[in-house]
Formats: sequence, C-alpha cells, structure tokens
Amino acid sequence: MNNVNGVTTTNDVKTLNPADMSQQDFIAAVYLERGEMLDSEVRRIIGEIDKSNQYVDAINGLIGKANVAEYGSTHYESTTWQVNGKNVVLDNGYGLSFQPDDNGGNSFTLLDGDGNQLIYQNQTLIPVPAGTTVDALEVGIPVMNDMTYILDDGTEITFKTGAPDTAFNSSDFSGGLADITSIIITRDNQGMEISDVNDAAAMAIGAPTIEAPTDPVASQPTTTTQTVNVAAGELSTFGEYNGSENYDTIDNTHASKVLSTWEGVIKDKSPAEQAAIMAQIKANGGMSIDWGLGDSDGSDDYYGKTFSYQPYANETLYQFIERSVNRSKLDFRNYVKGTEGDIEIHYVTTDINIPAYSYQEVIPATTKTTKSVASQNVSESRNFQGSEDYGSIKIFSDDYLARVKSELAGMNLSDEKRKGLARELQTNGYTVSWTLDDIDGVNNTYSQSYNYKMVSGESIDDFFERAMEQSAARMKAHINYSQNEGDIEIVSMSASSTLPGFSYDEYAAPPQAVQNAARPNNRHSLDINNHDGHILYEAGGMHQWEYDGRGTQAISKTDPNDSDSQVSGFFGRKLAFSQASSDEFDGTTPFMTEKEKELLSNVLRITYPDASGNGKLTPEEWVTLKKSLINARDNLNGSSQLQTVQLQRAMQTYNQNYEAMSNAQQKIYSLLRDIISNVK
Amino acid sequence: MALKLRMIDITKLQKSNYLASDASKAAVREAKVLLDKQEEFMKNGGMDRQKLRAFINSDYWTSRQKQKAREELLNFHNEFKSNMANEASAKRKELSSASRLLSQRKVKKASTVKKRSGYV
Repeated sequence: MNNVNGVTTTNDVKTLNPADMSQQDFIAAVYLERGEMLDSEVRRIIGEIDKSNQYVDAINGLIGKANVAEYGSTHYESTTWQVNGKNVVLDNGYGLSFQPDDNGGNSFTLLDGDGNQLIYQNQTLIPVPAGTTVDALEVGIPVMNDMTYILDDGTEITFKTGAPDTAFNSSDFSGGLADITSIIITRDNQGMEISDVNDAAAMAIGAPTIEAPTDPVASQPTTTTQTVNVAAGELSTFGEYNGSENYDTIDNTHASKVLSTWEGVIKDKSPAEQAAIMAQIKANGGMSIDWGLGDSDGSDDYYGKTFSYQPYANETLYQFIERSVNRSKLDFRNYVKGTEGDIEIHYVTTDINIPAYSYQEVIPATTKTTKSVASQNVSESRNFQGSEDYGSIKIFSDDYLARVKSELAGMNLSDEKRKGLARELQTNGYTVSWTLDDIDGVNNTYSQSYNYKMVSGESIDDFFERAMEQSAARMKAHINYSQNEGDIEIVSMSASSTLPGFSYDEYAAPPQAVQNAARPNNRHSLDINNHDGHILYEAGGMHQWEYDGRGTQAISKTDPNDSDSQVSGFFGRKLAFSQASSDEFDGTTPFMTEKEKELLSNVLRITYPDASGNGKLTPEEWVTLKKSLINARDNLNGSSQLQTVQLQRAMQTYNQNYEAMSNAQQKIYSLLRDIISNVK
Repeated sequence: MALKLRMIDITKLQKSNYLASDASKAAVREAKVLLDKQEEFMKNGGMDRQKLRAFINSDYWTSRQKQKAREELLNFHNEFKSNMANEASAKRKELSSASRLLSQRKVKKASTVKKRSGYV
C-alpha cells in the first residue's frame, strides 16, 4: 500500500467519543486531507511559475543590454538628452528630476523606464522599487565620497560630494555624510553637468554637449595616395618587313602589331591613370600619331606623316587609341601609295604620342624605408659560324632575352622591388647594345644601342620581351636597309646591357585588424577629467545596485573595532563608502552584473564568449549571447504556458474541494475541535 | 479515408513572452486568493495536520474503512495529477502545432526543367 501524502497505518490514537463519530466525520476528515494535499501541490506550481517569471525578467533585461550594445550609438552625432526646467530626460527611459528640499538644497529622483527610483534626500540615496515604499535606513546608500552609478545602457552618473559636516567616526560609525555638490552625466561622447546641487537657488543644469570622438582606426588609414608625374612619351612600335611589296603590310600587318602590342598595356593602367591621360589629351586638344616607312623600291625613300585626333566623349583611352590607329593606318597607306606606287617595305614605325600627365597612386600609409639594389651587367656572345641568315639576329635576341630573364629571376624580386625596378625603367629606361661581325665582302662590324622606356601597365617581363624584339628588328633593318648590306655572313654576335640599379620603398606591414579592436575613443571630457570614485552598477533597475560584486543591501565590512565581527546594513555601507576612491569605469558598452553572470552560468547554463573574463562583453559578444538568450526565453515562454494551464486545472479541483469543505463548515469545524481536543 | 482535423484558435496563442508571463502572473494572483481563503478557513477551525492524520489512521475506523480512505485519496491524487498532465500535454500539442503554423515554410518552386515533348 502506498503511503499517500503522509497517511499511513500508524496506530497511536486514542479514539474520540465513539458515540459522536460517524461515517460523515471520516469523509469530512478525508476532504480536509485532500485540501492539504492540493494546497501543497498548488504552492509548488506557483513557486515554479514565479521562478520562471523571474528568469524571463532577467533575460529580458539582458536582451535589452544586448540591444543597446548592438544598436546603441557608439557615438552621438547630436545631443539626445533634454533639459525641461528641473527635469533631465536621458536615453532609454532614464530621467532625473530635482525638487528643492527643506534645507535650502535640492533633493532629486533618478527614474528608469519601469518607474523604479533612486531618490536622493538627506545625504542618502534610497533605491525604491516601483509602487512600493521602503525604509531609508534599511536600504539607503550613504553619500560620503564621490560615487558613480553605471546604468544598464552604459550611462555614467557621477555624484561629486562636498566635505562632510562632521568627519566619519569609525568607532561609532557616526558622521561622514556629505552633500552631493554636482552631478556629471556622460554616455560615450555626450555629457552634461549639473552644478551647485546643494544650493536650491544657485543650481544650474548645464546643457548636454557632444564632443567629436577620436577614432583610433580612422586616424591610421591603411593607404594613402601620392602624385605620380609621368613625362611625355610615346608608345612606339617598330615593324621589320623584309622588303614586302604589299601595301597591306601597313594597314593590316603593322597596324595589328601596334594594337596587339599596346592593348593590354593601356587597359592594365589604373582607372585613375587612364582618366588622367584622357583628361590631358582633351586639354591639349588631341593626340598625334607619327607614322614612318622605309622603302627600297628603286631609290631608298623614307615616308613620314603625323596624324592628329581628338577623343570623343565617352570613349575609353583604349577605344580612342584604337580608333586613332585604325584611321591613321588607312590615311598613311593612301598617302604612301599616292606618292610611291610600287613598293618594297623594309620597316614601318608608329609612335603614339602620350602627353605628360600626373595621377594619384595608392600606396600603403605605413612608414616607408627606401632601399636600393645595385646594377648588374649582362653580356652574352655567340659564334654563328658564318650564318647567312638574317634570322640569326632574332635567334640571338631570343637567347639574350632568356639570359636577362634568368638574371631577373635570380634577383628574387619582391613586389616592392618590382615596383622600384619598374619605376626606374619607366623613368630612365633600359639600353641594350648589339654588335654583329660580318665577313661578307668587306669585313664589317655593326654596333647599335637602343633605349626603351617601360610604360606603366606593362609587366617587367613584357617590357624586356618588347625591348628585345624591337631592338632585334631595328638591328636587322639597320644592317639590311640603312647600311645596305644585302647578303650577310655572320661570324658572331654579342649583346650587353645593364640591368639598372634602382631604389625601392619598403612599407611596414599595416597594423593587423585585431579581433575586437578598440572602439573609437568616445569618452566625453567631463568623464575623462573627473574620477568616477566608488562604482555601482545597475542590477535590474534603479532600485537594485551592485557594488563590488554584490547587492548594496548585502554589503558587509569587517568591524574596525572588532575584527571578528562583520558590520552589515546601513553602517556596513557607511564603512564601505567612508574612504574616497579614484576608480574609473571605462566601458562604453553595457556590462553584466554578478547576478546576471550567475543566472547564465548556473541556472540557464548558457555559455557565452567573454574575452574580458569579467562580464564586460564587446558588442559582438553581446550579439552572440543575444541569440542564446532569445532561445532560452522562448523555452521559458513555452514552459510558463504549460505551468499556467496546470495551475488553472489544479485550481478547478482545489476550488471544488474547498466548496465541499466550506459547505459543511459547521460540521467540519466541530470535527476539527473534537480532533484537536481528543487525539493525544 | 479517415481524416483527423484539429482546430487551433491562433488568436489565443501567446507568442510574446510578455503576454505569457502576464497570463501566468494573473493565474498566480487568482490562485493566491483561494489559497488565502482556504488557509483562513483551516485556521478558523484550528486545523492541525498531524492530528488530522492521526485521526484518520486511528483504530476507531475499521481497516476496511481506512483502506477505502487511502484508496480514495490515492485515486484522487492520481486523477488530479493526470488531469493536470492531460491539460499540459494538450497545451504542448497546441504550442507545437502553433509554432508549426506560425513558422514560415519554404514553398517548393515548380521545377523549371523542361520535359521532353516526345516529338524529338
């Protein structure tokens, strides 16, 4: 047989007067027993409901803080606090209102959005929950030294105190209370001061002010720009055509070579640079292209002609150059053909004349050190054993190009070095000297030097390829056409050049974007210039404050007169605040109170990131925590609804049982009387 | 084919924790009024739990009567508990179907893959 709610078969009862007892009494007694049972059950459910409601309230408080951290302004653009007569309206429902007191000073009330209050009167701050009254001695916080109350949203309210009327006496805990003389309120870069609080007539509520925040991130930009001045130059293309008798060589073969050589280079210039070139061309009223042609039909003739074009609106730099080349190639072909008739084209040159221009280049903003790399000679020669082929020149230039490229690869150029070398090649260019020994007929030695400048947008490899290809072509044209060599017998060829020395800039690595990087320094000068003193944290409303990790009601201190005993209550708080403190609160975002930390770790078992280790979460950490909080609240919301229906159901039965008992009230009362008086 | 339909009044669903905790607070307030009433009633009669139990267990009543009383109390207790559990499980069902109803479901879009026409 189960033991039901304490009813067992223990048998230690002297009976009542049997004559008076009836079945009815027994039933009534059982009803009473039921009532007791229901009572304990209902109280249990109520306890659970109260607990989960408390948790929901605490979670809502935390979610509010997370919202402030996530959406709250990190710095104000304009003031948000308002002063209306003797009232100050702060953010997030907080407010402050002053009333003159009986002693010629002021009392004031700090309010939160829920109507809880912190009342200052008679040199004491009294936390009062909404809709209740309290005993000032039981809960009051004595004003003795500077103290700062930190609200949930990070607002700091600093009370500056005057000298106490009588000094604090630690033997009997008397004295030490002081007037609040001024109040400083700051939140991020908004601040205001209320002065002469202890003088009703002189009190002045200053207007809130905003100070520009100094942003440590913004003050250290990662990049900056520098002006690059580019001298006038030409995009020149030399084509060697071996006495071609076809005019198509001009507008087909050569013009294609021009465009294919420069298309990539032009398009690879930065947009800023392309725009600068276009702007300069427009300012100059156009751009010219020089065409030249060496002919050996009949007598040697040289044809040269310059064409000039204006860019259209909306044309990109390449589109404009492409159009200029395509138009000039036909004009030049027709020009040459009109004069020459039959033709033997040895070479065609095209120079696209780019004006001088300047543009802004983006460079790292960190400190730079300039270093240099020495120049390097590269010489190469080859015996051609009397080769009769002009193509040997190209073969040798390919050899030499491979050698130069291998030298460059051996230099292990970093990006910064590549930039330095490119700048040198763009400014002073690169000179390559060719020598060719020929023994056909008269012994001849041909020596030529060619200088090429790199063009921005060109890669270093592309530049050397161009320099070799172009200089070899010129060398051939020089010997074959200008020097009129004709048949050839190449004994040997040599080439030498200097890879120029150059200086380059090395930039310190930009500061790494640290996780949880320091936020802008937003503090108002009023906060910076005043010590916060004792720091108290709002713990769920204006009526609950935490000091040193515990509620102000629970502050206790060792009795200075008797080290074995602890002083609590008002005198404990007096001991706690009797010494001046110069603590500083430097958060700009909401923080967690001890109570909240305990709720999260012990009750809700929510783990959360906290790099600070002491509940001062970063805004990012608050956002992470908020997700868990909302889940926890939804769970509690569900279980609270379950508990509510259970309670409502329990109350139905409870009610029926109570009705049954109270209907038989007289009978039950007399039964109870009998039980009490007779059962031993 | 048999179809099971369940009606849910979604206007009664308490999605907001404020509404839910307000409702629970109201229920607690009502319950406390009755608790006070019963406590008052018991106090007026000079109720003593221990003595009441001793009285019920006393030898004055036959073992059959006591057995019956215990059984009755046990039944009452079980019935009471199961009533509450039923109520809670009904609410739980309501909550879960409510969250199903209130959550947004993805609607599968008709596939855009063209079917072969057969006239290939």
